[in-house]
Amino acid sequence: MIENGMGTASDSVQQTGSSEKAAGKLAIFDFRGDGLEYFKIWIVNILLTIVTLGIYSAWATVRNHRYFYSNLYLDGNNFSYLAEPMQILKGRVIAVIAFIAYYYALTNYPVYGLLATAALVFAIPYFYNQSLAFNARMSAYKNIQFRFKGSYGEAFMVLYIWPLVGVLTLGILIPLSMLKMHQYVVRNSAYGTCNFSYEAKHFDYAKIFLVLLGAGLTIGGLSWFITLMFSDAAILGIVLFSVFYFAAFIYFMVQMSNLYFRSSSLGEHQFDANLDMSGMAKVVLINALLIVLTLGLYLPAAKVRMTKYIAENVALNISGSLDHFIAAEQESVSALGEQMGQVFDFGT
Amino acid sequence: MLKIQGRYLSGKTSRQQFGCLEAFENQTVYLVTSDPESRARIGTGDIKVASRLGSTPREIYLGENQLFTTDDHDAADQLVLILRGKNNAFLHKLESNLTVIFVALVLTVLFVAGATIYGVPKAAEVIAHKFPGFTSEKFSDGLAVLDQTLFEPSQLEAEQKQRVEQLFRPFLDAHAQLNPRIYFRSGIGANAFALPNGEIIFTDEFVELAEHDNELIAVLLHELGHLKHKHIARRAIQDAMITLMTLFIIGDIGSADLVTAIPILLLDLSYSREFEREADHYAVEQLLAADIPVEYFASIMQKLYEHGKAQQDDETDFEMPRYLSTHPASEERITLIQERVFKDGSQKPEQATPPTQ
Repeated sequence: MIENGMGTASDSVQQTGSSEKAAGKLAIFDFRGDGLEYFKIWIVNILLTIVTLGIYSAWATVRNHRYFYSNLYLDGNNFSYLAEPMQILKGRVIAVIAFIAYYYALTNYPVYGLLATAALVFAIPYFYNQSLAFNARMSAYKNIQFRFKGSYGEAFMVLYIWPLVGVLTLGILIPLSMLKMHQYVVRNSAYGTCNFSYEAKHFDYAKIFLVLLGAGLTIGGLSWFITLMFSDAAILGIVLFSVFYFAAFIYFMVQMSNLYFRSSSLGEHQFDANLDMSGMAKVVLINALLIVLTLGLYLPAAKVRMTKYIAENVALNISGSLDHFIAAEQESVSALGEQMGQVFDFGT
Repeated sequence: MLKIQGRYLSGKTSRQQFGCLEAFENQTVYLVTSDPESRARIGTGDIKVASRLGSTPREIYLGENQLFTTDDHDAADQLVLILRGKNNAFLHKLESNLTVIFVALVLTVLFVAGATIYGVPKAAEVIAHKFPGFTSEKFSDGLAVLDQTLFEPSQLEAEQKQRVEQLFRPFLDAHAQLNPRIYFRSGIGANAFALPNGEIIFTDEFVELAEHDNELIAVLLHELGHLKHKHIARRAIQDAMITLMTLFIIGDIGSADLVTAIPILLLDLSYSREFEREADHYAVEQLLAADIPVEYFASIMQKLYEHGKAQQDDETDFEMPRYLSTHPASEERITLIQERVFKDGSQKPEQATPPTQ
């Protein structure tokens, strides 16, 4: 059933012929940002946000995004972020007003509040699409913009129905619901006029969950056994379980990211990723430690380190060259969906 | 003439060409590319030079989505000067000035500390009292929800319930503006708490744990203190404000991370402990006003502490660290209650031995 609909996605891809595959080259993503440099930008952003009572936050958002896009390189060219602060500010103001009104209704007029909640449930897939479309539109590489065009019905399915099916089957179909979500996002995205495609099997996802389940049962059993046998060593069981919990978190992050990139391709060009557990664990631990020691001031540098690590482990297998992409028609997308997502907390 | 070397992207295809921009003092600008060879005049109104940002390439948009990028920031700044008569380097100057960075750092730390310690609690207090609409008490099926999820019906004899209600009557009447109502439930161990709409719940276990009427009254006054100071509403407002502040300050970095969630949780718990102290304080004041010895409050606290400890001992040997608790440590609360008594000089601070009936 997963194979359904795959034909359409790959049909629209420009066929350059399989002979060029041999002439392909591997281009590794490269993030050239610097922790200290970004810290300076970040702290000035915060200062100006405080001084302007939050209004500058829209400009700060654009500057933050620009820093991460402009420093990300692929095949010698960098990405760029195109949003205008005023667009973000408008969306943000409307979203905050909507949130306050919603909260007010919920506490004072529970009936209307509940109606608003129901309305919100049905509005979320729409805003979710808007948000993805906005972010894609505002991202460009080699001055060609990305696009996202998803249908309301499909968004509703991947946001509500598939996760619900996953829960109703006691988690057995949770991997499938994640696959559906990734498929939805990638297959409806495009770079210029060229669509992305996503090819993964349900079992690729299930495997990650099965490994976690197996390891969890083993470690859980072991720490239960230790606690039972040596009641003084209960602490050992807890330590063991905490270490497992961290390892499981890293494993999930690494495997999911690798699977996501390896399943994605842009036309003839196939993505690849080689994140590994020890590398990721090192980044997460160093970041967490330094963030705690600096009471949060290390956050910007931590984000730079994480972005660098992920970028240098993701690559694009370029078949031929990246010179032949064509821009699509201009469409305007408002920033409201993206900002609603931030304020009502349903992000990507 | 100003000459800027860089890369040109037409915005129609992803093919990049090397080229340069030539700008003259009379505000005419030409784009020169070599492959294919061309020299085109660009309308100056269409040129948009992005502000400088770190060491990222400078983007110069040439109308109709054409993009010219350069690493020559000085030349780009000069181009802005020629076109607009002033530069757009203000933010970059701030971001590369160490004095500004230092001042920003100090001010940010002071602001965040000030806001979390004084600003947010004070603002929430004002909002809760001045704008009751925002934290309405009308929304009142809290107890119904708890009945379905957590509670079991009370097993107490009808007479005992009536007796306790009689005992509470004068205090409830004195707080009539809070609309307090008493309910008995069981199923969650010895506990008592107040819901924002005025419902105060006592558990059977708690009523049985108390050995003296005055102990029950002391705890009732503590719960009335929560209602009087609108603690639940204030906590909700404080949490919302902290969430919003976090979103504004580090929202772009990712707000759902563990690293930001944990400090927010610790902050919320510390706010909760502060409210408990405030409710304790209120209970002590009211007890003194009613001529009830404050030792009863200390003794019931001691019993609750031991009761909780006995329950915990069954499961684990660990005691919850103080900063992870919603309530201040019982020893601290008992000491504070006793200190309060000592300060007033009306009664001698004795060890909290349970008063005999």
